Amino acid sequence: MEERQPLEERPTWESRPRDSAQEWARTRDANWIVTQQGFNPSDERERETIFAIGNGYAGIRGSCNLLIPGSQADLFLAGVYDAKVSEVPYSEAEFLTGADRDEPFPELVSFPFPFQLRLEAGGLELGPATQYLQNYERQLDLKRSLLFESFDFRDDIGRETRVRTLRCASLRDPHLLLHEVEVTCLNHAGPVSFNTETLDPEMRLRHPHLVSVRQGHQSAQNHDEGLSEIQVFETRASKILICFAGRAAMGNRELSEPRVILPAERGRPLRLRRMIAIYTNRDVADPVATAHAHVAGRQWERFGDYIEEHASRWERFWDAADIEIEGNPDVTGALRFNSYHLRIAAPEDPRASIGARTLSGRAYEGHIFWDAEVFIFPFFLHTAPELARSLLRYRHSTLNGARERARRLGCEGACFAWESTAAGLDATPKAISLKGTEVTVPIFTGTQQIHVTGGVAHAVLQYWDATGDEAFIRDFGAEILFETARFWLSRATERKGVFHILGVVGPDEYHHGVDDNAYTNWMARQNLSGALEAAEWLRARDPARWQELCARLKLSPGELKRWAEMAGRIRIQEPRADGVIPQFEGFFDLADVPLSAEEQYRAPFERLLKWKNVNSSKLLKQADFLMIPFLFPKAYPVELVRANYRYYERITDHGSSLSPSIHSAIAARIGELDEAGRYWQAGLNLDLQNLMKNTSLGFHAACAGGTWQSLVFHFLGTEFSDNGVPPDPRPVALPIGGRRVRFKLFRRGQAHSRTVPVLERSPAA
Amino acid sequence: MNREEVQSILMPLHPCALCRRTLKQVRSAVELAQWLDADLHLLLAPEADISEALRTEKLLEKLLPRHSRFHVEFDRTEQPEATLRWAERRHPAMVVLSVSPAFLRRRTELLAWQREVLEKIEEPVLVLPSTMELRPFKSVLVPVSGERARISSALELGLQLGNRLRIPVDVLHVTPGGARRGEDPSLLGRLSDEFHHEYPKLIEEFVAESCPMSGVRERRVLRDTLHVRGDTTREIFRGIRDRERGLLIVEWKGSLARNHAETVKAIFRASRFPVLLIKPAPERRTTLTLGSRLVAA
Repeated sequence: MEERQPLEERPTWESRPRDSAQEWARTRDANWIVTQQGFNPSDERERETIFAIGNGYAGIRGSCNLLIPGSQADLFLAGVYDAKVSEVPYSEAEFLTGADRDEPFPELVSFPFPFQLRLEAGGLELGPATQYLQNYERQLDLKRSLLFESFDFRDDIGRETRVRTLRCASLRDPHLLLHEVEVTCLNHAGPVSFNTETLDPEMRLRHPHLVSVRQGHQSAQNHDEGLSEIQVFETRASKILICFAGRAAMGNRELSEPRVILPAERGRPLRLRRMIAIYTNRDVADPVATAHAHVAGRQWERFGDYIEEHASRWERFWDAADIEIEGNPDVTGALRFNSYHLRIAAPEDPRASIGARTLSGRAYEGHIFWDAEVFIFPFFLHTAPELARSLLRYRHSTLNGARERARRLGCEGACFAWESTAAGLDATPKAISLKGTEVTVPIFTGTQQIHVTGGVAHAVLQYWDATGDEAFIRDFGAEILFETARFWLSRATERKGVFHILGVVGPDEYHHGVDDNAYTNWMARQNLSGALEAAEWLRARDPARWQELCARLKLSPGELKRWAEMAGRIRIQEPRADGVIPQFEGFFDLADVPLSAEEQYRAPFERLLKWKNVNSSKLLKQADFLMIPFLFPKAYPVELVRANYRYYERITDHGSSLSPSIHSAIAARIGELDEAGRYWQAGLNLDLQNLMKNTSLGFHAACAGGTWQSLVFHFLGTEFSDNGVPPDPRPVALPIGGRRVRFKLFRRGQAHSRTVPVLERSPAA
Repeated sequence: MNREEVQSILMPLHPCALCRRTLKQVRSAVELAQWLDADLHLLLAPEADISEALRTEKLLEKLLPRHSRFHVEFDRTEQPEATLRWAERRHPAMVVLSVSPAFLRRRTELLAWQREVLEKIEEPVLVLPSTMELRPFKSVLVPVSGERARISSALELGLQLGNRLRIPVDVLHVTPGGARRGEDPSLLGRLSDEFHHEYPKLIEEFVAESCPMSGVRERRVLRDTLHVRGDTTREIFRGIRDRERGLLIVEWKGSLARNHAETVKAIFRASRFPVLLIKPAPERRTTLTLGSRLVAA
């Protein structure tokens, strides 16, 4: 691993007060830097996702500081949602309104871009899409989570102006954003106009959830004293109050408003610095006063220290989470890119979780899916367990929503919604109508895709096993396990002593209304067994808490006995003679669909319209049965896994970004290294190379998490012994090259460093 | 076309082609200029006789509505040089070409100068079959290829005109019927994950990529996006036929050579509706690297 210069040896702000932060703040190792050279307005949406920054509380798209009209320069706050607004008639198909979703606030709120800048030099407005732009560079320092931009402009009469910016969403202080702008008139002198006002005249169109309650600056009102800008918004329906309070300074001079015109000397940079505090009434009772005090309490002479403190937190994260493939910097870089995006999405707030596209894009409305526990959670469990705990706390905090969902499904206990937001109610739409076609396509996932509940329980059990965090199980985990076990029992149908779970959607969403989906039933069994284990543990370890839960949840010995019965007698699909296990009851009776190689990864739109045909065929959208050996590598012997992989892989069209990582993992397990490598690379580079042409919508967190798991647990075969210490790693063959893989994993409070030698390619074991 | 100002429209005329039919076309062009709040410049070339130009101007003043904003200019230079030079100096918002259907259909009575104007000029060209009289447009139709991450000059122009004329703009995306799945350029061809989330957002993203210099307000004139699999030319024809007084805007590479611009030629042959042709926007190259690895270019 790269040697880190100790913090105390780094130049401090005081020792280099004249220097731009952009000179000294950047990581020296180029392998940590993502760089864009040149500016193409058409690429901007995609690049806004790639260059996003964040700290789990706020996510800010990596938009160019000098916005173009088509920018989607958004800031998102974890856990801040509002009622759905259909603002784009030419693309929003007519779908049912919020009244038809259980969750009244199903849409993540977008906020105005806090780093936007309007600059004029020599009377010319500087913009990246103008003919005056000579050079452009945008750099994301993954190691320190700092975003830099550099523009060189030359106007019609040869006047050259350089602009450099730096922005940061502090990991040390999640409510603080930092911004530095430097403008240098290289060969001319004259007035330079800075305007950092964040109020958007098109706010109603661009940010339809927001009502501007107040805006101002120091010269406006006493309350805004010391601020260059203050913006207070309220969300229209959910009535969340949000305050952005900003201070700005040029050198030693504090600015009293967001617009300033200053004379520039030839060759001498003008440097603007800003600090912005963000608070909501979800955080504090008075977000306005708190934001004001927060930013007012910062000191300009410590601007550099704030950056260093933020960078220091990132170093701590990378110390735990970095994976280096010695001899393969390309793959190492891509892994870092993915880990970076996972980290910036992870909230410390236990009322929030990680949405399908994180806080980097509007797609999926910020909804939380099974992605969070099954694909993303394991990464944090082993690199930042405190964040994993926070993700599970979200599920506990939304238990009432899950209880409500169970009730609406006619069941007991708690069933986590397929798509959820702040309250845990079901945010899944019921149908989608396609304009002009009179076609309505029903959405079954909301009512039938219940395996997410088992995924949450599995994560609780994993956390317990990996951390030994008894307090968590006592205070939060046990209740989740008991309520979800209760749900499974109430959802099941008992026939001749066997428990069946009927009418579901498994991970493969092409099939609905299926019975005894292999994965769903497996997870249900795990859930029930885990609940029983937790009950036994709690009864012995903390009888008072056990009694309290029994009383509150009205748990009875009879009910636990029924959980045990169901765990012992739930229908678990069995292999047929060739070892292939049916994905669900009757799967083998469905129509065969030959799937050419070119149709994989290119699920055509017609699948959506011909959903009935697809439902009666063997075509799969993504890994379904294969999820079992992915999560439980010892569940089946390798020969059986091989048989099922070979059967299901060829009929999967990978219409989901969740699919490649699973297939890479299983292919690695069965020794199909070339295929494993192809799938793995597809998952690894999905967003970095925009392989599915939808990175502009937001980062694919589940794909990144699945890719990480595939490498650590399947390619490298990492396992844990009973005492928590992983066995010494054996050399492995990897299809991605490299000499050694170095990483760390946390287990039972200890960080275990692993160095796995890589063999030259050998035949599959 | 300049976003803020649509100042001038150029209509080149060959003096030999002046006749009642052409003058009707001039009337159409004048009205078009009026809708766009622009001045129409009629360029007579080659015209050596200023008195002829003045006679033409007086004739038009009689025939056209009062207060029509037009100017008759003349140039001794032959066509197409006269038109190309005028456009290079004055950058009109568009050029209007009144074209005989005979030329369009048989291409034997080729007006070579018009073909050269079409192929060489950078500005958008409205090709108006001389049998047609323009009436106010009610909508704009823009066919798009579905190619991602590139500016669609046709869509940008469509939005500008839609906003200016306060008429809706529809986007028509045709996936060629014969395309194999592996070659499918459909922007929806890689639909993935949850379709009810991906599908609306993909369309929105495609539009944003295609016209990144248009903001949310400008894009509000967009009405529908139509996704069709079939023969591109046939679907375009169907699309414009379904729209009474629709303006078709087509991006083309600017060559009428053999095996090029077959859709444009088919539109010319049909001679049933005007078409506004625009050349692609210059491509801007960027690179994306991570360390020393080139990720995208």
